[in-house]
Amino acid sequence: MKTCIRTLALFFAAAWTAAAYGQIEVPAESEANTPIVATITTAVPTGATFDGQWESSAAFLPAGDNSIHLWAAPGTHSLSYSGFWVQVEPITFKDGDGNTITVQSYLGSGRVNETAEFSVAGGAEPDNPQPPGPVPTGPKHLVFFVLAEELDTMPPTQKYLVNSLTVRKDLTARGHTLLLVMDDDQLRMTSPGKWAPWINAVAGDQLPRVGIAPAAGGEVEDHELPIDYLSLLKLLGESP
Amino acid sequence: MSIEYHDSNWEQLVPLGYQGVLPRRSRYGQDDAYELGLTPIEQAENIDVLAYEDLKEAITTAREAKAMPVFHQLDSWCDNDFRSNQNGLPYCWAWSATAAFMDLRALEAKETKFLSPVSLGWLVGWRARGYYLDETVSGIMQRGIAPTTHVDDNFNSTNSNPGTYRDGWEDEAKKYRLREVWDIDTRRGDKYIVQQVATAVCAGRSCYFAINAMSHAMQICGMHWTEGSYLNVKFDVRNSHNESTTLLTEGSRWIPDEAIVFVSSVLT
Repeated sequence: MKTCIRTLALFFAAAWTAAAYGQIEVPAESEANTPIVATITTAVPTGATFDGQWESSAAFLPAGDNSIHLWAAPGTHSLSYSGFWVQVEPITFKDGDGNTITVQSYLGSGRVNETAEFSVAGGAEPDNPQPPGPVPTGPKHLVFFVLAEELDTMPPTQKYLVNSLTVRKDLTARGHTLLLVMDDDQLRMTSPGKWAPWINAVAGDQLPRVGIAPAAGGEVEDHELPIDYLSLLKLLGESP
Repeated sequence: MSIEYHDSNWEQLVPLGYQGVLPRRSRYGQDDAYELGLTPIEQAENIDVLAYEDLKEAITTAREAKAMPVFHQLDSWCDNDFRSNQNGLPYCWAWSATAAFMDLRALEAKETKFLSPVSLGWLVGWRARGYYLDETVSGIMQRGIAPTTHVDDNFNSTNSNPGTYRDGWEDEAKKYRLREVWDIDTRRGDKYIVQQVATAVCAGRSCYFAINAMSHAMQICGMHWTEGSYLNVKFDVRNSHNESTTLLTEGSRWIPDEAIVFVSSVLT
């Protein structure tokens, strides 16, 4: 029976192993000293875990999950995007003794490897190429990380930053969302699930801290918990 | 407008002969309390109980910042149209624990999820009877509180027949478990009890408490500094007798005989 199950699992694994297709969209030619936006589209199976990165002979800054802003001297430049995805699914069955067993079944994996070229018009290299500006600000997701046993000794302004309904209302009015107030015990969870990127971001850091990520998705930045709400607003690029 | 209770009308809150709470058997700071998951507030690592001299400023500031549980409660699961109602079932121990737990989730910025107090009926074998606060807390740490979606879609349901609950309600309840609580020391006088409760409430945490003379459990979700009141404080109390608002309590009769602070819930 076990041999049969293994055979089936291998069959499904083989059947599902597939390539993911991607495409880089970037203007073939741009004027000198103008921002260039490149975007990658990938066909990764729903539910798969994916990790990818950009490389280019030009300078660039991330501008969201799938886009970058490039700037480059006149000439022809290369651009590539590579990544890897993997998909697994839990399968539960009963063995010969009637025990329920759950295994992670490998459904497939694949790579994304896309390249493109683009050129910048003009013959002379600009004196000092500048990036097109900071990564766009916008709605953010926040997670506060606290030490429960310091709830009494935190400076009052910091304590109320974490607990105040007024603060939360103002954050919401500004388009931001406080996702969670997490204490240090929760950081030691064995199955953090969707909170893993947040927990990983503060791993090994001294609490209290705040994690901030674009609401549209992206990397979690972590910072020391600001001393008060005005300092948090500054961190978010907001005016008081 | 809150309903006010004090030392001269406290007996009106519960019917004569009501028994919703059994006096706790575990002892503060002793092995039997630790075994139930109760950490003494003074031994919760660095917790320093607020000095009485600091209460006025702490309470006033926390109220101004809307950092007490009552504000999160009114903004999430229990607005002024909502009535918590145990409806004659002697389950005040379950209704108030569920209220304190839902406040904690609001404070933790978790999604508002209505939970079912009656789903804790397993603690009393699904019979209509009172129970222990400390052992209720232990039960919520182990098995959680089922969401109303798996019971009767009604916070105030008194359906204590689990056979009619949705399949999987016990597994779903595990998502709503307590992780950490602090035990309040009620052996050292009213003033020190008030200091401990204020320490919790000013840190945004609710106190699940009992008044033994009433045999009744409720939840302290806010505090006021009011000169001239007993020990200069009043409590915002969430009760479960179909009130449309919190109670405002004051007086020696309203100092908890038992109190447990809900500190954190599991991450789901």
